[in-house]
Amino acid sequence: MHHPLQNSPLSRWHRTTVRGAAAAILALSVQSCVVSRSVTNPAIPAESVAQILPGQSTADDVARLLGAPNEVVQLGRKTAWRYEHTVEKQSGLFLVLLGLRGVDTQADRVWVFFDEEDNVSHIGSLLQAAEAEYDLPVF
Amino acid sequence: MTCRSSKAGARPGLTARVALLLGSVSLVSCVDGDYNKFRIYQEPLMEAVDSLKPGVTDLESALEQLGAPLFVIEVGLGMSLAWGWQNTTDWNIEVSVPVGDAAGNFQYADTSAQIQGIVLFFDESWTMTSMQKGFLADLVPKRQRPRDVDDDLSGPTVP
Repeated sequence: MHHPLQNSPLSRWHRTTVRGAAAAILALSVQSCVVSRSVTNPAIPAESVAQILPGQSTADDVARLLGAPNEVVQLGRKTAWRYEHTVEKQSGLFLVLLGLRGVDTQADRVWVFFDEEDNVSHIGSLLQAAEAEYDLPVF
Repeated sequence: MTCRSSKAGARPGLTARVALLLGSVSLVSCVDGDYNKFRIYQEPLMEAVDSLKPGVTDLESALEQLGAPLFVIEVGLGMSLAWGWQNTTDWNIEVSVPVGDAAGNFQYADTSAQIQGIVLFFDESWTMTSMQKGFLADLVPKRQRPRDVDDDLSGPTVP
């Protein structure tokens, strides 16, 4: 016994749509990839860091140039301020049984050390956030 | 109605049984593998690290050679500075197989996902006293409450 709509255009369209959706789902499940980038805190301008001079700059100068620090460490009567900007780039390729994933995290980081009078005594910086890469592992 | 796939009394061969087992496992199990690469920060140049000498190197030259540390932690009247990095690849393989009403799960992970690092210790005059290398989690001193400022012998006395 045949269904009255079995060979109708509507039925053919329905079958085609279902097959297409199934093929799309299958294709998506077989292989997919992901690329993402996440950033923590604003970038630290190198020219601002260059203006911080031990023996000359004060805590007010540093706050005006770089803003509020991410961390303050008390060292007796002295202090140290940390500024950090992080960039993480992640890429992944996912097959049926195997996933390849690469994560690269790099940072701009500055530590400013102050004496008892809140004058800058030392500064250390590493500006490497721009070197973060999308990089899949290879065998 | 009965269904027989082999002659009465005959047993399937070893190859057929292995194929049947593998087929069953592959159909009802889930195998998943990950190959991961992690790069977190960057290792300082070894020449820069080797140039640091306990009793000689001060904070200024340590910062000049290695740049900004990951951590600054107060230790006694001095402090410790830590640099860390990771550059590793690892495998993670997971197999799940239903066994009766339960689910069996096997996982293999070849990971060394620990951040390596260097920790420098400084005295109250901020001269380096020692250096340690290894996994950062094993090296970094525990953070404590800041000491009383009256303990800071190097600072001016409060009138």
